[in-house]
Amino acid sequence: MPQQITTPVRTPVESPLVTPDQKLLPAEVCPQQKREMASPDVAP
Amino acid sequence: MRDPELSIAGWVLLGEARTLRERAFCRTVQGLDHDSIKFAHTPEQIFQIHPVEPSVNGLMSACAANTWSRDRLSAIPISRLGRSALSDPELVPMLQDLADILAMEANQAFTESYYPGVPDVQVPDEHVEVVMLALQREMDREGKSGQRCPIEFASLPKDRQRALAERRRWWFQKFSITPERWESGQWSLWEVSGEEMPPLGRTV
Repeated sequence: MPQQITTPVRTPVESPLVTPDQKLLPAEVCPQQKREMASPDVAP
Repeated sequence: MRDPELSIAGWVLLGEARTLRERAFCRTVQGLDHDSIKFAHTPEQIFQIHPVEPSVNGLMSACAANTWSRDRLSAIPISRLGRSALSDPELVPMLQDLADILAMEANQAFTESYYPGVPDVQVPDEHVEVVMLALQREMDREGKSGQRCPIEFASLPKDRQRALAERRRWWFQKFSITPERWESGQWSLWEVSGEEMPPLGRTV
């Protein structure tokens, strides 16, 4: 009987949906959210 | 595609505008008639104008020549309330270019290999922290509505956080909004910089 080979399994440290290179960047939000992100309630 | 906050007249004019001031002006135009103009922040008022040149600059000069329209364009609200109870106050749509530029600046703080501050702009440490929290507030809200984790401003090196806060103040000033004027809640079109819009933020 051939020896059974097991594939090593690596537990992901982050969800596959959220890897560092997929993080949401400020320039990707919509125009209205950019107007909110400018935070006019906070002094320049 | 036209920004839904922009009138058709403003949209057409924006195609010709190059400087920050010209572009801000185009975004104030609510409507043009035979010999009059209406602004987005005072839609109930009609101003008679007599432009000499068929250009954005000609239109601006005509508005400057009319005392009432000149005054209205020197006192435009900076912000308006959020559209829902969960939203934060937002810049008025007439300052969309400023919002686009600031978002691009925030982006570049993460992506550019060199991201210096502005030597002539002084921002206290506590204010840098307040600005980072404010930026994160909106990113977190957007992150909750999607499947992507928002970037974290606290993860930026301190010198980049400071540079971003300084550059934010610097850009607000380009749109006439100094810390002192900010307290009045209004900005003046006539004091917006005559510099060209930076290419990265040029979105119509």
